[in-house]
Amino acid sequence: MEPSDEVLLAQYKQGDARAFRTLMERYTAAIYNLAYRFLRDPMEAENVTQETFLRVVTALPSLRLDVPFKPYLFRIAVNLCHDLARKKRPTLFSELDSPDGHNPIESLTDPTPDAWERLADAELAARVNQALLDLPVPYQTVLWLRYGEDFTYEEIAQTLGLPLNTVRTHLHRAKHHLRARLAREMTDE
Amino acid sequence: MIIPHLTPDQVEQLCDNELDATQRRVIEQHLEGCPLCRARVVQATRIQVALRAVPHLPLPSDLVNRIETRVTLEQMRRARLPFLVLAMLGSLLVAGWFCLELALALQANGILDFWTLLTSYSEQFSMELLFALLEAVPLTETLLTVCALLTVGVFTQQLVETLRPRPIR
Repeated sequence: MEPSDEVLLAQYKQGDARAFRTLMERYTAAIYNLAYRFLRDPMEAENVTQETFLRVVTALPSLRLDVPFKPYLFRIAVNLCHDLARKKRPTLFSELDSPDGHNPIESLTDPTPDAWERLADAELAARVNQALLDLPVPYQTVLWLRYGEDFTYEEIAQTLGLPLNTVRTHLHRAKHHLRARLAREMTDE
Repeated sequence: MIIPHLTPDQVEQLCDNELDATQRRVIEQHLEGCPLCRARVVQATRIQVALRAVPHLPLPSDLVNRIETRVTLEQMRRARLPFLVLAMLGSLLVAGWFCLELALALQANGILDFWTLLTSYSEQFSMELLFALLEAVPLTETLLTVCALLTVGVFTQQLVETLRPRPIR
């Protein structure tokens, strides 16, 4: 059984460099993917990944072992992405438009299936992959954390510094945008 | 318990396994008799499956090793910090001592008095007097003081470099 993040951190604090190597191998790909989806630049994603682990090393003497490490690590990465993306003025959650014409009540009873529902699973997966890249970054971030990295709602809330209900709302809106984009693509074809 | 159609949140929470046992039981009972909500759950599940199938981007080659190297260098850099502080303080003390020695030497061989006289009677100033003044300067003390001050400068610069936060490039 693999040691937990907190166990590895405790070992690293006592001078075991291999423990930190294990942590890096565990999370480097996830951090890189998150940073790339946020910044859309492989070099900047690489820099954010490096800087994230450097910040952990710097904060090591004061790092608490009773707090989950994974949301803390990803929180650092998200904050670094925010700092870098500030130059490009990222879309904030507060600026996202509410889904145009979206009426949750109507969607309960509208029986018309979307065109993408007739797609085979493989083709749907490919289209979802492309549509995900076209979503606003905040939506892409919550979707990626939930379904790409298997974060729980609580972990997403801790990582992004949002209340739990807000995370649920953002996930719901993100998937609505995704479905709307898929439907639009199918209509345009 | 009869519930109306599932809300979008309930559909998402069902698909995400975020419901407790009681809530799940109630919703599953509703689904048994509601083809519309069943269709919505199927739709949401397909989207989730497709999202989970989104491939991870490949890592740049050797990224983990490069990060490890940089982390090691950063640790070595920070480990030097106490020694840099001690070295800077030590060189500052030595430089201070040499400055004092230089001042005493200048006082002892009369250069300070000579300089005071020279500046008071500037009309008497000449190049010969200036060369005489320079010849009287205690060379050893002066060189040691200059070297000590340069050493302080080098250690201070290294300390500032170590403490300075590095921006993300």
